[in-house]
Amino acid sequence: MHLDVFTAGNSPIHRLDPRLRLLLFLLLALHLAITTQLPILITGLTLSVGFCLLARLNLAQLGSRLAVIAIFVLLLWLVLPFSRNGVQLALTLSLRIFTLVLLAVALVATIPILQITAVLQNWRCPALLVALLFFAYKYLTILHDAYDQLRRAAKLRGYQPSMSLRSFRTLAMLIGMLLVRSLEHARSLQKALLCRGWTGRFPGYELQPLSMAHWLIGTSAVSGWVMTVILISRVSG
Amino acid sequence: MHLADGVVSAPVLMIGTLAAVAVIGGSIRKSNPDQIPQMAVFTALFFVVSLIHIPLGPTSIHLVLNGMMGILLGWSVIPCLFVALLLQAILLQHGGITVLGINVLIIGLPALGARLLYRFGTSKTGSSFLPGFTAGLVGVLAAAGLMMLGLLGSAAEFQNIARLLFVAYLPQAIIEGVITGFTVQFILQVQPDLLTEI
Repeated sequence: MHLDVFTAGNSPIHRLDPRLRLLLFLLLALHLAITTQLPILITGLTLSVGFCLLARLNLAQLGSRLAVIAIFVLLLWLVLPFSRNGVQLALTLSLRIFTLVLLAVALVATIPILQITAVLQNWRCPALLVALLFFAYKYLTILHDAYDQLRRAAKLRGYQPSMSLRSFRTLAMLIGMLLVRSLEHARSLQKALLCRGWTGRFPGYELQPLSMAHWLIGTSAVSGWVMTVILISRVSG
Repeated sequence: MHLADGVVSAPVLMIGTLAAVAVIGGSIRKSNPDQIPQMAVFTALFFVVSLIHIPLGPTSIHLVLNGMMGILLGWSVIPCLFVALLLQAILLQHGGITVLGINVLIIGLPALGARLLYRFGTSKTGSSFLPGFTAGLVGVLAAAGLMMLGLLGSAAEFQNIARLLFVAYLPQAIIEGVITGFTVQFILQVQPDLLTEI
């Protein structure tokens, strides 16, 4: 699909087991999301940049994602410094926001959605959510194409998005039409699933246990991070 | 209408996530697993609609339409939003994975309220545009309010930013109200059973 731009590749990060990537992300992200110590945040940012470089990501795409976030960070810097402790807070937040985005791109956005679905099923995530993720992803492409088609049709008839009641009405009809058409699709899919004895779980999604090498990488990465954090806390007193 | 990863403080993150787990768990029980294909369509629709830009002055507006999602989906809107926001976080880096639960609450709770408002409105007035408009308007305003709450609970310094964001969402609330009203009207004309599908 055209939206997952970071999943293709054969870098060391891409070769890492998806479960390991998700676990590492969750551990690091949760720690970095709550820490307020600048040295740890700076180390985290360096590490995230390192992961991104290691994953050899599409830089143009990465840049466009970061640009959106930069706008929000800019807003923070425009408003926050006028309050007490504002500069400190703005600095902490900017570091944290960029660190977490880069970490998410390197470790999570590099995993294809279907593999994430498999991991979630193996982690005993509620079956409804797993199935919903699978089918919603499938419909994303279909609906996006259908939306493009309807929008092109509207454009050919002279539609231009603007701040007018007429424009909103057209948009509402477009969204309504999209809904009506794709729900037809969903109803037939529902019948097909029920006919084939759908129980809400995907067979054949069972993953092999993690290999020894992956366990080794995982434990050394986590203990490495813990030691770095302890070291930083010691040095910065 | 998302909080990004790393913005909220540790207590807000913890309380919000715990509350989200409870709400998501409860809503899964109220959802019918046989209707997963339909729910998936609504989830994908939410994602696609968020890609629509409407030019407004020098900037543009991204539609959220959480009020409309609430009208169409009822309790099932919560698992749908969870998946849609997860997809947005992974594919577009909008929002974030650590704040996923909080974002589900910010967008989902107003969606549930919007459904009640719409039901109440249609039973009182018999028309569909006005209740749809109200549901769309309140959906965005309440979400902006919850977002403000999350920011203010994280740091008192956020006061100005929170106010700024709330004002920025006022025009969006009106536009979403109009679009929700028209969409509900359209669905009632073309395929009324769609409103009671889930």
